[in-house]
Amino acid sequence: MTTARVALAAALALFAGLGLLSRLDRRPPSGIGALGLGFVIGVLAVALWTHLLAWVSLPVNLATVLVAPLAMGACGRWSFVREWTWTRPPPQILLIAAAALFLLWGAVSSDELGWDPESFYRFKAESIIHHGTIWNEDFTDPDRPHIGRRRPLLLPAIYGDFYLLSGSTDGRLLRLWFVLFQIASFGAMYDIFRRRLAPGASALVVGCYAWLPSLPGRIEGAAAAWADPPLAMIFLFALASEAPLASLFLAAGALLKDEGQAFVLVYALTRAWKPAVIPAAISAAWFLTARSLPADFAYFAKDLTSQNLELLPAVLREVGCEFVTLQHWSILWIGFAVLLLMRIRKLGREDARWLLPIAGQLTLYICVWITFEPANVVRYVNYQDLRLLLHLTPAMLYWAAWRGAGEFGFSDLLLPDRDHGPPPAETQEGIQRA
Amino acid sequence: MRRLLGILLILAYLGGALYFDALYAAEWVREAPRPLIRWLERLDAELPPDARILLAAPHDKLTIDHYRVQTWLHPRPVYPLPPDVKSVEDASHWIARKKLTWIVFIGDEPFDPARAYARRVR
Repeated sequence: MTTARVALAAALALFAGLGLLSRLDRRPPSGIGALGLGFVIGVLAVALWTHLLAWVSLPVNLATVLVAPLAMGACGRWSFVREWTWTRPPPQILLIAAAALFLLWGAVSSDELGWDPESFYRFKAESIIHHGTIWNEDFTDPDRPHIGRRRPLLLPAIYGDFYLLSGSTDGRLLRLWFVLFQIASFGAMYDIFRRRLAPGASALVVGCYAWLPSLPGRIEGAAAAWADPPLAMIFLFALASEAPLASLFLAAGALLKDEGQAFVLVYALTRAWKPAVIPAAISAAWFLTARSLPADFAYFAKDLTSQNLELLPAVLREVGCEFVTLQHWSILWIGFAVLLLMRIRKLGREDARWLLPIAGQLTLYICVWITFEPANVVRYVNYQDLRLLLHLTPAMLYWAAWRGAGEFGFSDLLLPDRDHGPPPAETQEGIQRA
Repeated sequence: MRRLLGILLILAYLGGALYFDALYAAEWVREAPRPLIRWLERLDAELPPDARILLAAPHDKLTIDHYRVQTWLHPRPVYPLPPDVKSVEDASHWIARKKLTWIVFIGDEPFDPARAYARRVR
């Protein structure tokens, strides 16, 4: 019964997501990309609805949650499915498939969630489901232990949706749900990478990401139900999407984690301000709402004014060490650094579109880290840097994939970017050869 | 030459990634059931649903395990000891004020089921 309900939950998320995708994207993807992006959008959009219900004190229950996927799917322009084209996938897709199976195995091998999910995100989700709102003593009584009391609630809303739709609070199933989200993201990633790379190369690069050692980690990986692996995908999808869809991803990021709110600012400054307006308004509204909840030592915005520049060398050293931690990244970030050095004199406008948001976000993280107490800063940075660097990795990989193909003599694998005008100069040769 | 270097970089990345992924897989296989979670699952089944719980731990010394207690015993409200109180014996005022009916103690980390207890407030 539970298995059937999980399958139904997945189908509902897909239905809602594809409906929204058909409306929000002028040229929606097809095939694997559409299925993956549809599932991701569906999960996030239904959770946004649940977050809204809990926020404004409308009851959160199975009936009110079900309204969202049914309405979103019903509003879809479903004729776009008839335009889908199914091409034979390249053999490199097996690399992604094998990684997906590996992550699924990891998901069902344990019922343990990450530290934050077990110590407070799950608590928040169960509280919202039990009381039907966030305005209950679990959130409002300052004598109750509650970490991250003022944090936005999209992650608990995702848990809550899954609990209601599947009828189970089993940690193993929730792990499975997050791995499904990650696998769907691989499909959407593949479609994004295919805009600039040949299908085989796209599948190879996404396969490399799918095997990233950070993803199967038991405590912090894709299955551990942290906000960070989904947020990493949200950042990439926001940067790679057109305005309406980018707004949806930015809003989801802003309510998923504090870092998502920071990314709205970074996106507005480095990409475009219009898609950031609604997410910024939502962030501001949440910020004001959260002020009526008891004080929260874990809310990042508390100490932003107390920068301590003397901590900068220690923070940079710790972040630098994380870049070269093979256990988390293999040589991925080392490869990014090598490529950046190779291209340092050739960086142009198109590089800036991808590198500036990443640099801006990393700068904000460092600015927050140097507000921590000097005695604890190294411990906190060590605790967070893996998950925070993960946010930037898919977008960095996208830039590195097509720039690396040019730099390392694989120009024949490059395609013109369908979305952003003429291809970079080094791809012309590849196009002619192709 | 650059093409070969590119291929070698990808192979080196994949080799490193697969090696560490294999280490994670070994960790999954070796993973033992967590004593605290099994203990909390049993306690959740035994405690009355309307229990109000005093967590025998100072509010400023809470660990992740203490927060797990709150999560696993939800929707029962869980209160730690108030700021100026060091032990359960000194918390009678707090117990009366918050109408607490059960006391739960899980000890320090790592969790030892022999030391942990849950008892009704006398």
